[in-house]
Amino acid sequence: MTQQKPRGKRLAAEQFYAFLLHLYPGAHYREYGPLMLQTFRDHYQETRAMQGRIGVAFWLEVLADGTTSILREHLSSLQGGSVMQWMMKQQGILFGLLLGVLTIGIIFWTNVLFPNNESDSEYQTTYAINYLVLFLFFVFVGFLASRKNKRRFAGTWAGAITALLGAGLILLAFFVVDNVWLGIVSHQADKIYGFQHSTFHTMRDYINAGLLAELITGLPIMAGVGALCGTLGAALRKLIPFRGSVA
Amino acid sequence: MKTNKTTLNPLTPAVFYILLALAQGEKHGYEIMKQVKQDSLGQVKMGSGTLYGSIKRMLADRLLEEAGERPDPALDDERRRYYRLTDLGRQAFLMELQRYHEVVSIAQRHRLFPSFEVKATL
Repeated sequence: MTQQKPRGKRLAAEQFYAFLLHLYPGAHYREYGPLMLQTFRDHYQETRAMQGRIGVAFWLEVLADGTTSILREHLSSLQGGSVMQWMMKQQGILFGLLLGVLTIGIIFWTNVLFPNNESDSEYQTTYAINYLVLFLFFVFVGFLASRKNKRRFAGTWAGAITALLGAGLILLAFFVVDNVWLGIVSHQADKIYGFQHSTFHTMRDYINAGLLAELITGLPIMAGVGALCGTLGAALRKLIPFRGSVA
Repeated sequence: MKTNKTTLNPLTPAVFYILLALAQGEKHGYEIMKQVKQDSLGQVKMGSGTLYGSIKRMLADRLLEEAGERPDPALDDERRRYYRLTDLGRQAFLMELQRYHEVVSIAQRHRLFPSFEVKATL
């Protein structure tokens, strides 16, 4: 029984390290994962033999090494090791950031600086046009990404990433604006109506529950729509013969 | 021999200590880790993540090569992958040593070592 315990601990430690190895890029994991696990096992056994136990210092070293090397390997696996070059190719990240930053400005403008307390139902046509423009933007991103990047599904990924990042930043902006400037946004007609017909005790709880629901359901839906639009853009790229140099 | 200029530039501590470890003979991953710690007097502690990341890049730069798989009799009967220096790796290592030697010579010439200052004050 007493001999079973250290063996059990060793196996648990190995299982944990094996899990950590899955966080490395796929190619690195396949080539070096078994060797790294073997080295970890040797290190674990020798430390235990020399010190009689495995202390916190051992795990801190393992975690510090794991964290930095996982990040380093992911960065170096991004084409050519240049993050900026990778980002330039991954149109989705750039356009998602662009979309997010642009919309944050609009959110701040219309909710805090010049708040409009009218109901959203007054602006249904405007919202419909906005969504249409947004979806066309995803199509454009997919089109552009498939032109710059010859990989399969480049357009799909670019559309999905743009939508996910853009929507994520928008939600973050609403979270900050609604919580920091609650006194201003709580005068909005839709918020007052929604709060009165809800079971929440405070406006803050009502707003944050709504944002959480958006986070859980809205983000995946938006990513799916972005992927669809991006795929459509990539398909258009194949249909439309493009003349010009691709630098 | 065709040499890769970038690999002969000044080396990072991790690369230098791995070359130093393998200059003493071919070794597997854990032996390299232990040798690095010993040679650097505990100053460079390399986990397996850092070690194999460095090995991957050094293999790509042709500083190292694999020397087959076999068990380490001092550990157990599990097969381990051994690594050794290539000619380019040995050349890069010697050039780095030469750089260190030159720096030490300059420091000695200018009496910049703390030991010289101690002697001077005595």
